[in-house]
Amino acid sequence: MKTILQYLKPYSIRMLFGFLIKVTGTLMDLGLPWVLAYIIDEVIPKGKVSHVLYWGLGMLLLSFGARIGNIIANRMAGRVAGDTIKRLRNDLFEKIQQLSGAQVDFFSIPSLVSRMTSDTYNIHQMIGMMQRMGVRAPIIIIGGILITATLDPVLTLILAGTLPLLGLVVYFVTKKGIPMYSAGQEASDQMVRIVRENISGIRVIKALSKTDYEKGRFAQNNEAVVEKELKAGITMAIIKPAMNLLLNLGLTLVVIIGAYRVNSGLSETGKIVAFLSYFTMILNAVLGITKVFTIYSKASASARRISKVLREEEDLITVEFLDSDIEIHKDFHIVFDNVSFTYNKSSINKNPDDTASIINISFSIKKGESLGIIGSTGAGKTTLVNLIMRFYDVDKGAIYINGKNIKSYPIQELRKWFGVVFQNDSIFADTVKENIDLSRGLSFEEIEHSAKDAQAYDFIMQLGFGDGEDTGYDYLVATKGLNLSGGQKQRLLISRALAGRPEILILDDSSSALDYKTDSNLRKAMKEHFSTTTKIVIAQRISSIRNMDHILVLDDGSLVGYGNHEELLQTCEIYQEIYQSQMGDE
Amino acid sequence: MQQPNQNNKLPKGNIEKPKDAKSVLLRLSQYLFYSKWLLVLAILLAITSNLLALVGPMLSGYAIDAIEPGVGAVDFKIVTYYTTWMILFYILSSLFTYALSVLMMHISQRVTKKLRNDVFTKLVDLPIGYFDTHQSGDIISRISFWLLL
Repeated sequence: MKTILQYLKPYSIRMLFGFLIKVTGTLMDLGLPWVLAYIIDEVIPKGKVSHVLYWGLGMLLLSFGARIGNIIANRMAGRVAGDTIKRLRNDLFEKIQQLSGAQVDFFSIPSLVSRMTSDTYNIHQMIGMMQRMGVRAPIIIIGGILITATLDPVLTLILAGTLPLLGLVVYFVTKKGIPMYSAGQEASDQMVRIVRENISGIRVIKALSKTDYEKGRFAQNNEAVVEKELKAGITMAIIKPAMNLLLNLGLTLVVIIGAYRVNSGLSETGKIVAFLSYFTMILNAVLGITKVFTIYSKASASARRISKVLREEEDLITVEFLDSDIEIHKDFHIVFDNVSFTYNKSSINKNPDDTASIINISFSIKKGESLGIIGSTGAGKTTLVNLIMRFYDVDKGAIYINGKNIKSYPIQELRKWFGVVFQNDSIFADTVKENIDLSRGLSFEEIEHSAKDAQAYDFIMQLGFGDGEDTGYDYLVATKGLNLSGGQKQRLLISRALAGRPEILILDDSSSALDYKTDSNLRKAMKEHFSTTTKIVIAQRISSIRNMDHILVLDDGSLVGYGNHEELLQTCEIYQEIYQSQMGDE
Repeated sequence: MQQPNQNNKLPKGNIEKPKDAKSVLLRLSQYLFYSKWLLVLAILLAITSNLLALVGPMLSGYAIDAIEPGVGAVDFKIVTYYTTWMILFYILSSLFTYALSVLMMHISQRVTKKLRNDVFTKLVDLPIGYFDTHQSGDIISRISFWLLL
């Protein structure tokens, strides 16, 4: 909650203004029954109709003033709430962008999404509600009791006596109800998770005819959600009728005791009528307060979830570099020194894909050299990329670039050196040019050069012709690159990686959809035009990496072979096996 | 080569107006009829509980009328008579309100349950092409909005 309060601070003047308007409006509301009592008890008995009209006009003005004040204040409150949430969401989004891979794994993506959406929504609700009901209700309750005390202190005692009872009812029911709501919330989170899984895994679900099973799984979960929400709802529904009953019984008591007091000349009929009005107003105010409480408790849970993300310390800390390191590793561009890493340290959401880890990996490559990485799925090839770009920190050992531990570079600076194509990398629904440029402001020459080197130039030149649409670099790529073939997508991604003239180029399984000739042209272009760029290529096919200066063979996270193609054929059994199995490919 | 779908060119805001609001409403109201007898019961209950809630203030009006201004002028017999009825009716009204809200919750949960199952069934039965041409985030936000109703 503290975090949220800080976000409200810049609006304190606007909020104060709205608060004053709201208070004025509410006080006008409070004045109405008092004027009514005055008319009945003091003005009517004097029998002057003009005076009654005069006071009646006053009531009319009061109620207009009250409405208008409330509307203005509520609108101001809405604007403050909207502005606050806008900033909070921006900051949260920015923070999420900066989280490390390990931190994202820890929170899990669905949970981050719901923190961005429904949690900020809850806080939005609360900020608005606090400024509306949160101001109005206490004034009505306290002001109402004060005014009635001046009208008739004894009747006020009855009113004041029922309020603690109301509080007790609300307290106990809410105490029982809120955990029930949380249980329902958890169940519906699970439901959203099932939907997510089904959307992202729809191919395999359909391929294996698992849709009926999934429907059953969803229905079962749905049943649980409904049951829990129903239970919570039935409990919470006690509040309103119970409060109504208590207040109405109090009202009856006011009539009875009021009758005795009027009979003995201690009170007047008009005051009893005013009391009945105040009773209703206070009833609504108390109901409003309970609403404020439920929303508050929901929002404070949301605020905790959000500030947990906002306060997450940067876990990829930049450390001081050691001169001794530079001395030792000065001859090499990239050095892996006995690196070990595993994903599943404390992750709460264990994903079977995440079990991959690497153990005691060491290698060194010089500037401009090329490294091929090969190995079966799950061997830890991509993990090496994640570590070298510092999406995750190593558990043991260290990685050096230009002789300095990568932990000693500011993250942004470190990543600037890389041009990378990830597995299943993203293609955006934008022009070809923008997909290569990616808002880096590259010149057209740079883009064209990289497209040529990536063997993408020819197909880009043909894009869109015949359709009468935008052509070539201005061709609009559809969502997920659906209007491009697999090989075209890969070449577009490689163009993107090459376009920034990176010092280190990483291609993670990104030429798999290229035919042999294009692949070999690509390798040739890289050799000729990127001779000073250090290249790391992860591949399934030996043909893609056989000409590399070094080849690293990974098996189950361990380095089982390191050398060039010829050496490995002699020494590495696993490399031989892979080679044998692919012999017929070419 | 396939031409990019017009809809996919620019990410639009997700406020899409249904083409025919009337037929959408009609289709959704079928979900209400799904539990029509409960609905009839709910309407009856709502009418009764509201009538009961009206009786209270009416009775209090009679009671206040009996409080004549002036010392010793109050007719206590009438006041007691009406206030007794007031208490009875207020209790009844509260009971009915509670019963009504429990019933309404049952109905609405039945409807949401059916609705969610139908939405999910529709979702997994959609052709693969739908998932390729729509951002999964967009699908999720559409669906979860329905789910969390």
